[in-house]
Amino acid sequence: MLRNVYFKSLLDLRRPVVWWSLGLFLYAFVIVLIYPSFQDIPELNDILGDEDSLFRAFTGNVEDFASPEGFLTAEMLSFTFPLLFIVFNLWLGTSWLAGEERRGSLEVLLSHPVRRSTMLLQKFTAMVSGTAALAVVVFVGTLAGIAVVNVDISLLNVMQAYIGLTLLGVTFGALTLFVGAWTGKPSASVGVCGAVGIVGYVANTFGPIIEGLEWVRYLSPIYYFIGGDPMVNGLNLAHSGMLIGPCVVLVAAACYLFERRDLAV
Amino acid sequence: MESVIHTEKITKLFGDIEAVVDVDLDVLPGEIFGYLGPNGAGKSTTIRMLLDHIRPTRGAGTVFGLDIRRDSVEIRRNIGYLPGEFALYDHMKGRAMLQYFANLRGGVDWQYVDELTTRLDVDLDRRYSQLSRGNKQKVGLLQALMHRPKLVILDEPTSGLDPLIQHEFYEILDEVKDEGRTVFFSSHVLPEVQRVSDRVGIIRKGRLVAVEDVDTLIDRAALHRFEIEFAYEVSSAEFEHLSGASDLVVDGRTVTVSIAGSPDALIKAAARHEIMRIVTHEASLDDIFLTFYSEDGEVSDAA
Ligand SMILES: Nc1ncnc2c1ncn2[C@@H]1O[C@H](COP(=O)(O)OP(=O)(O)O)[C@@H](O)[C@H]1O
Ligand SMILES: [Mg+2]
Repeated sequence: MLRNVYFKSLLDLRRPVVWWSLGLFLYAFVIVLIYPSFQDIPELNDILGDEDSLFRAFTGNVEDFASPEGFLTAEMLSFTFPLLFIVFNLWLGTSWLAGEERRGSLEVLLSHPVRRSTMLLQKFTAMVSGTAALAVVVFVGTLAGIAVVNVDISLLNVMQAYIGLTLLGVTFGALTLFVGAWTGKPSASVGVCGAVGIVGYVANTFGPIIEGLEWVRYLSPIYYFIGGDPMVNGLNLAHSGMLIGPCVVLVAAACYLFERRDLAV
Repeated sequence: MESVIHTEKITKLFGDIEAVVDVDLDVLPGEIFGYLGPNGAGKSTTIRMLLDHIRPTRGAGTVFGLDIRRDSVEIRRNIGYLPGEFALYDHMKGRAMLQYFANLRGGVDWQYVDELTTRLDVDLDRRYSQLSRGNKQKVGLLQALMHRPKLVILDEPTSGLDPLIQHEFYEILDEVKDEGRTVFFSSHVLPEVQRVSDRVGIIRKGRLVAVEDVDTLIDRAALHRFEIEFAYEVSSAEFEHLSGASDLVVDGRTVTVSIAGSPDALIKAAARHEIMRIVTHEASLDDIFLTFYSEDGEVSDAA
């Protein structure tokens, strides 16, 4: 299991992933279980108000809150899971690169015959693996809920929504690695990624209800995860491209910058 | 004989700070080379450039004849390195950590690792975070030595080691040398460098001021500062021009002077008067620098 940087990173992930999985599984499972009780309140849509209301923004701008797709989107995709998947990647991206550099273990690691960019790519791949594992857990949690209560929803779409969630998470991971590779500073790494996450959330959620600012959501990574309504429509390929593209560019730029600069020692 | 380490005018500036300036080093195969200098002299900076962790502002270098920038991965295959300050993975046990590093190198001889572990007295079954500073240093040493690298680079390796382990460590270095492998290590402590090295490079304020056989250095280090208190005031003229004397200070009844080599002339001159007290100090690294190696990097041969 300690064959290379990738497997060693996976091994490091074992414990945190187990705990996160427990939480995520329960969350997904319980949300599905409580859906039937919301299903029976069709007036909910009236309470939430019309298309442009603030209430709608807080529930993820879903069209039909009482539908399974709308409910699951509002309760899982609009805030909770993106937040958790971003935080997971922010944490890993920071501690694995800028953090390891700051603590001093990177100087030992890179005295071994491992190219800097190889190390970075293996760590990124391990982040993708960890994030995908969490997505699988969320999917299994959702399935478990559906097995208990009757929810009429396309499992294929649910699965695709979680693939999108993985893409969103690792894109933020790539951003964190990029800042860490560039600056070597954990604080910058956390700061930039956190700021992009928060601004991205606000732009996507509240942009549409502000007159004249509807366009700002197109700048938000969150939009390219949820804007195409994945629970209803499945994975939007064009939108996914808007996550994968920057992700690839960020990782490539991270490798390039990291190879060029002095290690902070 | 081709140098294992060779640098040409290698220089590293951090803004206005001249960390390393125009250093020309040649470390030969099979020797133990001590890189001696006070704190902040530029030892770690030089070493980090050899590892490609930081890049020279100008100048160049080779290790095993390979370019330190372009061929770094290939070079690192045959190097063992202990940084001056480092950390390892807190949550991992020593053995797992060594396993990991061994795998990155494509395997090691575990019998040798076990031998080193016993000799350095390391407990590999504890988490790194639970180890004392000295034991952390030992795990660092193990990862630098365990694969029998052609070149061992150690940045102030004995800091934090207790004397018994230090002794064992010197033995291990001697064995490395006996196997024809090369050691490059830095230190700011003169006796340590005297004890283990064949040749010594002395760095000060980023400049390599001298490269000496260790015997020459030991002669130079036989510099003592004498402080003689007489019963009455004496004239300084009597103590000028003594052989091997420098830095003469006469202050009332007390004469202070540095002597390289035998103090015979000084003692005979002093014996003409009534002596109250004699105190001698071994020369510190700084005294030696001041006496033998002037600021501009030229060796001033006072001995
Ligand atoms: N990353 C850095 N940024 C700025 N100055 C540095 C850096 N690294 C070292 N220095 C400076 O360069 C000089 C040499 O440092 P160093 O090589 O660590 O000395 P030594 O290892 O001999 O104690 C010191 O003045 C130190 O403060
Ligand atoms: Mg140092």
